[in-house]
Amino acid sequence: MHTQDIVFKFFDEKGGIPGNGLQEKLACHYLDIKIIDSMGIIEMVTLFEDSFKIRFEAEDLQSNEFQTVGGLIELIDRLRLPK
Amino acid sequence: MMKVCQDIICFPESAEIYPDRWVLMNVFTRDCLGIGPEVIAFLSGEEKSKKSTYRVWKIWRFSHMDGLLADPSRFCRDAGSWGEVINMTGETLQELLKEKCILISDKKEYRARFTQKKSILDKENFGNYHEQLGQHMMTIQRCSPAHWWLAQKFTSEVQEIRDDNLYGAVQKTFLKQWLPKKIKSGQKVLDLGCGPGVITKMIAQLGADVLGVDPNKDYIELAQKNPKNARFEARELDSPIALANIPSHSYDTVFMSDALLFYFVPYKREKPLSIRHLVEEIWRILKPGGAFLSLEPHPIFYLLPWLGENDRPFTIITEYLNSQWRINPPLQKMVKPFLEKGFVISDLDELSPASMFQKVDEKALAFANQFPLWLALEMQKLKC
Repeated sequence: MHTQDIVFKFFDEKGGIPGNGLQEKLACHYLDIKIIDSMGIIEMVTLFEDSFKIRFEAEDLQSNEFQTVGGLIELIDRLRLPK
Repeated sequence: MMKVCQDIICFPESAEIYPDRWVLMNVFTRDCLGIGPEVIAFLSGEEKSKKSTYRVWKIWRFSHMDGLLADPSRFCRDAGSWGEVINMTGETLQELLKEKCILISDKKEYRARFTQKKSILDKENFGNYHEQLGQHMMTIQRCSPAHWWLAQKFTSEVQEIRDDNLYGAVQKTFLKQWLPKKIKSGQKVLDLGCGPGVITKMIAQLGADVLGVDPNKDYIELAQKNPKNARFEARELDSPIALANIPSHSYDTVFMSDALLFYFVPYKREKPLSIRHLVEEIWRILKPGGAFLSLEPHPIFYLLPWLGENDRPFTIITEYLNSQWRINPPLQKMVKPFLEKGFVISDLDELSPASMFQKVDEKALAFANQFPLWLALEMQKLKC
């Protein structure tokens, strides 16, 4: 399954990403607008690590990239690349 | 233009063995570096002292992970185990000092960071102790705060308070002699925020009829595995009707331990608890002549860094009445709602550790002997 589909599916289950059109949704700072709380972040990280067989390092979790939906998808895609 | 931040201190932690190793600490951010004395000269801006390399040791560690009552000073204390020295150019050093908030370029921007974290992943804003703990667990340890809390306070079976840290040396030792003085066989006791019920069971063993309540269902489930004559119920303590079905004037004692603090600095920001309502409910539930027993982190000394030598320890208090970092209230804020309701303080203890702890941790003992980590209060609802 495409990374974007899984990420969007997760956020849809949390009430959806606000924004009109794909670009706006990708630019969404989901942490700032509290789509998910702390427990939701833990749930999300665990789900994506298991689904994509990846490991987020501390630097990844605290990066600017991790803060937006689009950045998160790009980060996951990069971590999914064979080392 | 970089300036030396005014929030820093520098001290020779291991001067006797390593006279050339100093600790540099921002007392608010609690970030630390190990440095050679030439870095102090670098900070002073003396031209003559400028060198081609500067010695730095990365000694910061989130020491709270060793336990809530472990050394909260956030640096590797033994200079012998600081590891490899990093020799830095002035330029690289400046970058590192900026990252550690030792040097700042814009004071306003720096002060703006003294606020709550926007999320568990926010590294820009410093946040309070609980937020920092949550972030460390999420990003570095990848473990559950609830599980960690249990493991550092209680034995593996969650039946006893651990003896090998300050919970045992201070809390358990104190409770063993304090509870029998305050609670008699046959009395009715309500333990509010009982967690996994370890102290509730200590109270039950005195022959009291005790009910432990806690909002965490997992803790209540744990408590119920081996209830030892105590009763347990999960109740949403943030609900105004959490205690409503408990009859008025029905309990001799209401006990709270390490739980009242959450009524002042809520664990869940979106669900603040009402201290006024809690006090009303405790008053209503207690019989005339009944007592509220409180054992909470000391309003001043909890989680302060342990500095100085063991024979003369000292600390630095960075905030008290208006807190950003601390997670327990100042004394007045904690006690006043009870006094205003009509409670009278009938006993007070600032807890000291048992001397047997010297064998376990000499520094912890020295610090806790000078600066009490808990405050025990008895407040009575006098018979009119």
